[in-house]
Amino acid sequence: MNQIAKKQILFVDDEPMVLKGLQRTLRKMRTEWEMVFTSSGKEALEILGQRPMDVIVSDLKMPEMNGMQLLTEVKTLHPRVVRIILSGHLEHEMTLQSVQFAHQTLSKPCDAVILKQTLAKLFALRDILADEAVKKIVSQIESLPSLPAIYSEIIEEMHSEDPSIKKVGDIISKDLSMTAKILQVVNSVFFGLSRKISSPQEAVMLLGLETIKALVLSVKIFAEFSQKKFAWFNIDELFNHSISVSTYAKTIVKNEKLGQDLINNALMAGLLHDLGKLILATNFQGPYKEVLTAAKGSDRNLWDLEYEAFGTSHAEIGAYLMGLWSLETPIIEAIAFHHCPANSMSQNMGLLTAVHIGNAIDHDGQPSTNGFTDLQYDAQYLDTLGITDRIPGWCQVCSELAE
Amino acid sequence: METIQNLISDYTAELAHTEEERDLNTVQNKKIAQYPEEVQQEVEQLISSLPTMIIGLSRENNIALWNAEAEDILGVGAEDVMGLHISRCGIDWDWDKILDGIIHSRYHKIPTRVDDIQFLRPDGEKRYLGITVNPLNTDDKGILGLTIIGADITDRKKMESQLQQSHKMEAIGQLAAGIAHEINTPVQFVGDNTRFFQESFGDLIQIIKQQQEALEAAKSNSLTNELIEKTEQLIEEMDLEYLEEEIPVAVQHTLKGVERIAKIVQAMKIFAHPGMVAKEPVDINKEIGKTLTITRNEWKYVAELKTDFDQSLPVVPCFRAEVNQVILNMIVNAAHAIAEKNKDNQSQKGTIHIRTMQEDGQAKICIGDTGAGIPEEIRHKIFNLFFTTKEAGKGTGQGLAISHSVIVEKHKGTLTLETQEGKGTTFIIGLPMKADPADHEPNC
Repeated sequence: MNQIAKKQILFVDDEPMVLKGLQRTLRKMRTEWEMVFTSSGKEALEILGQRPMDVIVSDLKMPEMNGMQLLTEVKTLHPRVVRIILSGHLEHEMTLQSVQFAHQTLSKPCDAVILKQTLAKLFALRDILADEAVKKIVSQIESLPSLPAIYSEIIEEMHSEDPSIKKVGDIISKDLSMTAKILQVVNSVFFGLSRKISSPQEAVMLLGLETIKALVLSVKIFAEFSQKKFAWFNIDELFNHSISVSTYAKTIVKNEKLGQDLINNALMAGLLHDLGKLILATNFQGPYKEVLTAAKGSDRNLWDLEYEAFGTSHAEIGAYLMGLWSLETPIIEAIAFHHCPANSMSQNMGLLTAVHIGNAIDHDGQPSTNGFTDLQYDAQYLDTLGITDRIPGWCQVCSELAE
Repeated sequence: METIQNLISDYTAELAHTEEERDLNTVQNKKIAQYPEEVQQEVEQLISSLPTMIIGLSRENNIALWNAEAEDILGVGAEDVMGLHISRCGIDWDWDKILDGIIHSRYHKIPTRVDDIQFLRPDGEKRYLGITVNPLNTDDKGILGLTIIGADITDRKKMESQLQQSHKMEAIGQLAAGIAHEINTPVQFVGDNTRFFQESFGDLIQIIKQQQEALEAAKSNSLTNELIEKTEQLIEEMDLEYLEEEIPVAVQHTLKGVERIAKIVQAMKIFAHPGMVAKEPVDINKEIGKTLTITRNEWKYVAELKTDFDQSLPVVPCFRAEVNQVILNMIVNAAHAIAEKNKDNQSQKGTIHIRTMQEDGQAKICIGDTGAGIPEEIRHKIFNLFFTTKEAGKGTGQGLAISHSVIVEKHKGTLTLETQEGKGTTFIIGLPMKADPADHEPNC
């Protein structure tokens, strides 16, 4: 066995037989995972106080301290621990609320294979993407704000007498924060969907208006961006850029005839590729303002400056959060490596390529008013894939689209 | 209603009293002479326009009055029955109940209420009557006659049963999530254990095969140290010791889980029966046990459960489904009361105390909680239909009203409560232990 530190997992469930069952069925993983089992929330907090954990998997309904109280505490006291709910409880509202304190929600009965896969995927995500800097930043995120105009639009639609499911889907798909959040909800295993959903319209359809209403109005999963507080940050520009890249990535994928699934994923990956910027701007105001100011007067890459200030960049941050929220791996990969596609594992023309080029086209076509040079093509990467000659063609279709 | 009833009684009393002749037809004619014609007509119109069935009987039980509503409800015209002895009126109704009512009323000289009288209209429709038999007050010559005042209560009965059914639905809806949780939990560990068996079986087979190889080698004298080592290594790798220890425990847990699921599914049958028509002998302790299984998820996070069952309690004749529903309702209420009291301190657990005992010919079920108690000012309202203190969407205020109707009206039992503000509430259900002979309806 190599010397990678064992992953630390803490399981909490008030039913000892559930804990024993998990212990038995996960025993084969003991060479890689160190698992601790406890039947009370209080004990769980004590254990977390004594030793670091990577992941906590907790039941929701427990006596004395329930899963919501426990994970909310963990969120404050040990923010870097990934929080997963494993609950057999179906009470709708409580489960919907779990998106506010848990990264993922699994429902009992949960096949051991799925539990293993979920945990393994999380660990891979943490190993590949998340160094301490990313974990630190993502752990401190409070909210993902939405564009004020879109926010009031959705609230208005929810309060209207006869909200339209199509309209709601369209509104959400215009906003990256809302899109990210709604995909987290729909992809939580609670809803029992066998495949991952990567279109907000489809998500809204599957969840239904009642659930969306509960999420928006009572659970309050969306938050409004405060233009006053963040006057220095041009959120409109970020949103416009995201939507452009989303459209370009989709067009490129379509042009390459890569299939319907990939078209949806391209839309999402494009829309979410700069989510990390929003996270940095709204959660690390002072330092990020400095980074943006520095970038304005410099010809260095924005992400290089981010690295200097935070030890990581918006690409990894966005990707890690989306990974915690269980979005599809190709989307995460496209977000993480949209500046440096050569660093990724995949060596085929795909989602990442489309987002990378879409991003380059938009930055070239509309020089950022923030004044920084964002990126060029990674010519070598495109060369390796053998697709350099196709770039002019893509630029052509994309620019036609822009007009 | 009361005044109309009095009016009719007085009128008919007068009618009977002033008459010497027994033939009621003549009685009527003679009597007419004593009232101005227009008054007579008005009274007749009044009687025929009343939306209440009125049948008047002479002392000999001959039919003397049969109003329009009676014609309507029973489907038989006045002209066909006037003057006939009541037993020859040809109506296909529950004679035992009708005659019991008449006899009781005559004998005790008090109005007698008889409900749920099944009757068959000439058009074949089966419906229900509720009647009051009123003896007529006459001092000198004894009772001369009586009136049967009543109404078709079929629709009301239907509504009541729908209401009860809808309440039951509500209870199931509320419990469904809890029951699912109670099932999902054992399914989780039964599944995990089975996966473990699957893997362990593979491991064990590997060990056995390896040992067989060693055995074969030993037989043919070719057993090497290397092979022994390899076998021992495999045993260690597969952690045979752990498997030996853990598999029997996992089997135990799995069986317990399956038993738990079976128990819940069994208990869920109390919802399955729409309610029997007749009472049946019921083991109250056992039924409470089932209800506790089903409602476990409702109370286990908020309360400790204490039970003191009188093991010598005989079976009690009752409508099983209805009584179960009452008990279920009481247990859920107790859990809610405790949760409400401790809502700011959720680590605080209350106690639900359930006792059964025999007292004064009744089987008593006491369901006590350590909730906040019921404030004095609303105590008189809690059995009212649609009265609720729960927030909108949490309760419809039907539970206790239906409980009251089930226990007091249907079972002739008692439903009382002891409550102390800040300390808790105990509901006491009393069910008669002896079957009421009137319950043996001949037609079922």
